[in-house]
Amino acid sequence: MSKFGVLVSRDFTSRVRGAAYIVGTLVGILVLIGLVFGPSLIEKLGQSFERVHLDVYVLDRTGVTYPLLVDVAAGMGNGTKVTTELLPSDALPAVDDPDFGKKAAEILRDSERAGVLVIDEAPELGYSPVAFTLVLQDATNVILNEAAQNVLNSVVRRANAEKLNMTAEELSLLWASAPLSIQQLKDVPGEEASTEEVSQSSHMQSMVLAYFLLFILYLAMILYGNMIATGVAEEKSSRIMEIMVSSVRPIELMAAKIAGIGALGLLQFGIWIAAGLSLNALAKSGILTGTVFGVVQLSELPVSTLVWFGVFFVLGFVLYAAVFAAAGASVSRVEDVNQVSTMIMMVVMVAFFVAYYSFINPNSTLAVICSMIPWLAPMVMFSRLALSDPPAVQVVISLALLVVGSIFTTWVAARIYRIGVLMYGKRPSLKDIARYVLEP
Amino acid sequence: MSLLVENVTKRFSNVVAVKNLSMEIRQGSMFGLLGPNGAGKTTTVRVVLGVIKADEGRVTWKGGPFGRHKNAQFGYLPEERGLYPKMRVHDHLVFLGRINGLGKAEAAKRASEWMDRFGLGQYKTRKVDELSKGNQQKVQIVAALLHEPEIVFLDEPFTALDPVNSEILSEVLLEGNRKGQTVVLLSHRMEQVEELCTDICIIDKGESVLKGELRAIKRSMGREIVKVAVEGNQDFWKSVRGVELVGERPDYVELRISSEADSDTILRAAMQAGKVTRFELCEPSLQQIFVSTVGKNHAKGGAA
Repeated sequence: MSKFGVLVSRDFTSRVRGAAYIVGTLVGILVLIGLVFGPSLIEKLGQSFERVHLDVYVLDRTGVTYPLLVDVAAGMGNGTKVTTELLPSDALPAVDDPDFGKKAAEILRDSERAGVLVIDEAPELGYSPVAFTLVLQDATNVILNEAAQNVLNSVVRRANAEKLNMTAEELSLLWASAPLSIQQLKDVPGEEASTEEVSQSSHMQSMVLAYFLLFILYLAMILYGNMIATGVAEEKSSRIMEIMVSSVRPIELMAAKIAGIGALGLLQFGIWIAAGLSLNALAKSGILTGTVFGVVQLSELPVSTLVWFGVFFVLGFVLYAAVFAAAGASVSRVEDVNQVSTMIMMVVMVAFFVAYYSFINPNSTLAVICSMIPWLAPMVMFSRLALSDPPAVQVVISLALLVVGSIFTTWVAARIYRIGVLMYGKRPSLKDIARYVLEP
Repeated sequence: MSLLVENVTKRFSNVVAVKNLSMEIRQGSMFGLLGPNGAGKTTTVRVVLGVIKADEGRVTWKGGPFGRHKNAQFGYLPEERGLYPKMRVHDHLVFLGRINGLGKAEAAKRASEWMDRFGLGQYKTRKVDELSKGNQQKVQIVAALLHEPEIVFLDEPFTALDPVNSEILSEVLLEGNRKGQTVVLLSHRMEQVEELCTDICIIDKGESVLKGELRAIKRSMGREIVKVAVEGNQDFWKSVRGVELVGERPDYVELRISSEADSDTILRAAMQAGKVTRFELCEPSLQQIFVSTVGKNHAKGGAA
């Protein structure tokens, strides 16, 4: 094995066996399990949670509203269940009577029901012929309160409709949504122009997936970038650098560190992607739970998106890894790494936010310009490619600039690294760093 | 056939760390590069090894260029000790051996042999940071010697070693030297250097102040040290002209005299002062050479 190979394998094997790496990989798998099964679990839990039961005594002083309530209750979706029991209208005094509370308490004291609903005439209101008062044993259940509001909204709408001589069917017309088909125009030179319907739900799905991948890009750069910076600073602070640079060239050391940790990252993400795909397959087959979940369909991700992900993962990693290595070389102690890596992380964050913005509008001027800037391109261009079809010219320019930018950045970083790696003591100023770069 | 350092100068911003230094390290010699703290010893070696670049001057080995990646035929124990703290000791040595061009199996075999020799056998699978300072230093010494380099540079190799291990290291170095290995010791401790080195170079404030073969240097200094013990009198020498006190011990005094002829005068003065229990004419020790050379060079005098 060449020297370079020995260096790479040391960086790789010394970490791959470490507890941090193994635990990190396992936690990632747990998160994936959560992501794949979580939505359906939450849905399941949510169902029992959402099945609100509004179980009340009703005291109807209007004499005409109770049948409407019963009718509305019968038509409620499976989310809400309404049970009612009509009380004689003299069971309670008026709501503003001092004895109202006492009497209500007597009714509810030994009852299973959640409360008492009092319906009064309200001619003075105008927008509703009736007014409701709901006394609950536990009025802190926001979901129950909201369900009550919804049920009673419908009751009032029905009462108003009757006042206007409208039938229930006529009323439902007022609540209709607009039928709308949004179509993407495809007008590529040399091909017949056409349009393609954009399904809102499938667009949402690809957005969720692209966001997921974008987040992985972001995580990879931050996590592994920091690992590189810390690794270099550790070598400096443990002074191992001194014997290393006397047998190996600094540029080889830097490249080996980037390759070793890069391989570590690829392995980890490889494990995660494999785990994600198999979990997804399991969830779809329903073997585990007996039911087929409506999970995010990782396997339905377009192949092109995965390929772009790979391309930008590697290029972006190389670009940032070199900068993180130079950052690690410019400090003397591991504790100081954060100070310099924060600056780089801010650039990564800006890239992430612009990329996120590009999701909403992939072809805006901001997104187009930022996808040409090498430091932002890995994420911004990726999110544009994942969600739209940017012109080929833009893709080529972006990639070319990214490659040139990576080479240039690596060159600059290597020069900073070469000198920084043996400098101890005070942190170099920007002027010093410029000197490192320009010195022969 | 030697390592030639010619007119090397190295500046760090405003400080001149090494000033126009020239020296010759003969192949097969045991060379002591001496100097007080901050004299520029470590910088000199870093320049020689190509870890840092000289501003002026050049370094050649057997007439050709020398330094890292020209050939891996040197070993280096840096002044600042450093190993990967979380690596297992044996793995670490194998790694360093392979970096220096050994095959995996060969590196593993040699690492085991050397560890046994330095009494590190039971630490093979321990992590570096679980070892004591002295043991870590031994590991690093092994790392410098593992690939049997033609020339090895050891910066203060005896610090942190107990007498037993110092003895082992001395033996190892002498043995290597007998096989033709060139050994360069950097130190401000004189005892071991005096015991081991054939050639020395003393540098101070980045400049060479004394260099050559140790024996020749001593000879040129003359037999000018006298150790005299007179019962009950440590002050008799004050009456003798041309005599300077270099050391006062509980039971004897060490005097420097300007010429050998004067030793008789001292003996006579001593006998007049009382019963002489010791009278020894000897070579100056390296310690004394160092102190007087560096002392002359310093305003304050004396090495740290």
